[in-house]
Amino acid sequence: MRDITLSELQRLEPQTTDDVLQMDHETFRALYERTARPLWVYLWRRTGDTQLADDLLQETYYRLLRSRATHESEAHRRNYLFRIATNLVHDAYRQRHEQHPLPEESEREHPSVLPDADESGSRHDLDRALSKLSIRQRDALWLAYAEGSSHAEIAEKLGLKVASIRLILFRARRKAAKLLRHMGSRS
Amino acid sequence: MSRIECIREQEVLDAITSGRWPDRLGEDLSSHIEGCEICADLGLVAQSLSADYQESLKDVRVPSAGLVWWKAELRARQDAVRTVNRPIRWAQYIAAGCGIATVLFFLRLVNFSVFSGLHLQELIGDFLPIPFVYVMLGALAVVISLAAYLVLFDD
Repeated sequence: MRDITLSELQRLEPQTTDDVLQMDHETFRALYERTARPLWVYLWRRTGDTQLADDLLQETYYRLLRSRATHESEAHRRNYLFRIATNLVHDAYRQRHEQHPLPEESEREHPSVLPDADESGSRHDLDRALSKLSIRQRDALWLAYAEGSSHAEIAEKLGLKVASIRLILFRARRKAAKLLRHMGSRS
Repeated sequence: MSRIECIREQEVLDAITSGRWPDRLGEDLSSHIEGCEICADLGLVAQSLSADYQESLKDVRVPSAGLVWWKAELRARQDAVRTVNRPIRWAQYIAAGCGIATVLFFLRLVNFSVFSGLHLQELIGDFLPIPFVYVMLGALAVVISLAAYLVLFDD
């Protein structure tokens, strides 16, 4: 018996495969134009790898297009997009640490996968400070003060409660500020 | 219990967004920040992240929407093909399993002792040379394998 081939499926059942993507092309284009650049920056700053950021960007939009979730608004869809991206970044962390366990104790506690090349002094300090935070604290800080997301939006993007976000942000800010001041005083 | 928020946080964030941080805050907000650890931490961290974000955005090169859509569509179609073929493949496995079981069942019924005195040379030796028979059988095996491959794997 012979399998159905890709070309045959395209020829015979175009409506079936088009239905697989849960958004029309124009809606997708409009959403992409608004979200792709900030999403890529988020992925890049969270992974420190431009190639990986490219791959995760593609994967994020693919999962959004395949998702049957309904979205009340554009903002809700955007939050959902970032939530997919956050989960993919966390998966990438796990895979990286399973494949390449870090030797230094400090790095093992606080995996540093932020960019390390071509940085200004302030970016370098920021990266070092962020690398001392937990993954969740970094996510929350970035979404709050780089993306400008509200507590409710961050909660939706990270899949947490709003009350938790307040506490995470408070602790993350306090720790990051202390580290930034310390680095500033040394340089 | 210590505070984790300050009511003037939004003013600090607005000052950063509007580019007034840290020199043009106004006397009131400046003096508040001097005495409020929460707002001082917020200003330092939010300013660093905001500046980093704006700097990062300048160099971003993302693929076109059309390319991302095309790749997603292609992958979705491949997934659809895989989904459609899954039951067919299972049916093939089951059919192959049934075939093997049938052959094994009939092999049990055959009395092999009747073949013990029989030799290939005696059967066809008068009509065809033995090496020619082996070559024919080998060629047949190759043709059958090739035909099976072409039928089953035409992707």
